[in-house]
Amino acid sequence: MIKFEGISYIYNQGLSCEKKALDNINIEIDENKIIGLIGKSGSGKSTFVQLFNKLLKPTSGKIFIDKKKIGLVFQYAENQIFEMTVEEEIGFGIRKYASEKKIKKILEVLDLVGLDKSYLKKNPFELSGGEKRKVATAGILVLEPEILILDEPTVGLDLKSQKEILENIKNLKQKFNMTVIIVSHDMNVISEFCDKVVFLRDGKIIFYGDTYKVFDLNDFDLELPWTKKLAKKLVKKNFFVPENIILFNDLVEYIAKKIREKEN
Amino acid sequence: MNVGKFYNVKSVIHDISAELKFLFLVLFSIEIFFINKFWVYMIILFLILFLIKLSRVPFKLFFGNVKIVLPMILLTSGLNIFFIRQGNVVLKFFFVRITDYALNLILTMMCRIITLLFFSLLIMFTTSVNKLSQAVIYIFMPLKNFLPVNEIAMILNIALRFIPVLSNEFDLILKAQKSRQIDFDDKNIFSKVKNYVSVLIPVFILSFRRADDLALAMESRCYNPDNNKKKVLKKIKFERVDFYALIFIFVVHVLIFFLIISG
Ligand SMILES: Nc1ncnc2c1ncn2[C@@H]1O[C@H](COP(=O)(O)OP(=O)(O)O)[C@@H](O)[C@H]1O
Ligand SMILES: [Mg+2]
Repeated sequence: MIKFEGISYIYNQGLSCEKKALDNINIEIDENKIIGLIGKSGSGKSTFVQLFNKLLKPTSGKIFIDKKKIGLVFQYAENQIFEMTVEEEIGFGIRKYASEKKIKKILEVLDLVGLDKSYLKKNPFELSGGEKRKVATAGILVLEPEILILDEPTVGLDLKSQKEILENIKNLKQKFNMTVIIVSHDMNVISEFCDKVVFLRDGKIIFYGDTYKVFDLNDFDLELPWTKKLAKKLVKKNFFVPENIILFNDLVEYIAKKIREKEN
Repeated sequence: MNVGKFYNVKSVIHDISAELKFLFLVLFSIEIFFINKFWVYMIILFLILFLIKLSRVPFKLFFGNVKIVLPMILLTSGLNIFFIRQGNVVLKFFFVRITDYALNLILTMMCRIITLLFFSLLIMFTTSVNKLSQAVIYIFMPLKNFLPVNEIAMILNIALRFIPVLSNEFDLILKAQKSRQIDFDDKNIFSKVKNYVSVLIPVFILSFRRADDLALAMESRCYNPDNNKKKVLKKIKFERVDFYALIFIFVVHVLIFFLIISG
């Protein structure tokens, strides 16, 4: 169970610079799904995700989470690195494991984030920003979290790495029944990878539901994923596309099917 | 966390000119090394609390900062107390001897740090960074042929500005490491040190990188400290509050001076 009841969070309470970052959040999040968390910058996304593993205590309200292992990969995770080799960096969370088991685990997650064995002995400080981010992400994955939260994991990564990491996490989720929460501004990421979407505005949840639905609500003023843009253009040209199609593959399949039907 | 950030409200203390506040801070940090009586510190602390009340900056902000520094003070004084051998022994167990001299020394040292901390925080909370660096330029201007005044003021300005940024950064990285299951309440002293290293290294690296980026950014916007020298400085306006503040400072000094002499 992942449930929030009447949650508010206020920064600097009682001071003149008081700021209500979350305002009466009520939500029960579906488990074993990939949930997208979207909203403008400053809408409270980072504050919200820090409530999950008790890094922040809510100013008011109750949280019910019956999972123990909650991994949070922070925004700008590349800033958290401190060990002298990638191996030690990733292995820090499991440093109490026997060395054989540890190295096996490290290699496993290294592969998940799309780095190869040659990185093990490298100095993480000499990697590029994107590679550092991958190492930091691996450092969380190694803990085998039951809830995995990624705060803007794709910013600053090349498209191929973005896709690779997210595909791997998607597979991982299927394998281990994780709940994954992805904070992102990139609607292409959200539409391709998330089953459901939470939409925050000014600290309030204004939408929680299936991903395709969020793009059909005009008052949200969202930048649409390009699959949705294409579908809308096609509809305008009298080529009907059902509104729940937002995945690239689904769209291709659907169009191909329609064209085939017409040809016959 | 809120370390040394300008706290923007209206109050008498905010109104006092930055030049005066800065001068008094310098004066105070020199004077404090001549005071070695515990009860004088109590008076000073009381006066500072009074000034804090006047400044309308919440006490909470001050105590938050003390909480961070306190472990450090306690650690250093704790070590000192066992190794100072001068004076009469007041406490004795096993091989440990604690003398009255050591106790007195450590008490005054702690008072010194805490009063100085409170006072400099008060100045920082009530003076905007711009005004403070302007004040520094103004005060050191007569020395401009010997000292790079503009550069000093600029460095001070940047340093002060970055204290809150770095303290936020520290907070954030601490949290990030906690979410990697690094346990900062670990009882084992070695893992404790190691765990804090996991925060300090990233913070240091970040601040070096910040400094680097900032230098580049300033250069690419054609920063040249010598340009500032041609600027005509505003005349300081001496308002009525400043006059009262001067009287206050004077009276307090005379008072404490006599107390010390007669005590
Ligand atoms: N440490 C902090 N102190 C004070 N205010 C903060 C702090 N962190 C965030 N805020 C404020 O809370 C609001 C929500 O911030 P955040 O959760 O970081 O938003 P997001 O991640 O959606 O961009 C913002 O208005 C921000 O200014
Ligand atoms: Mg954020």
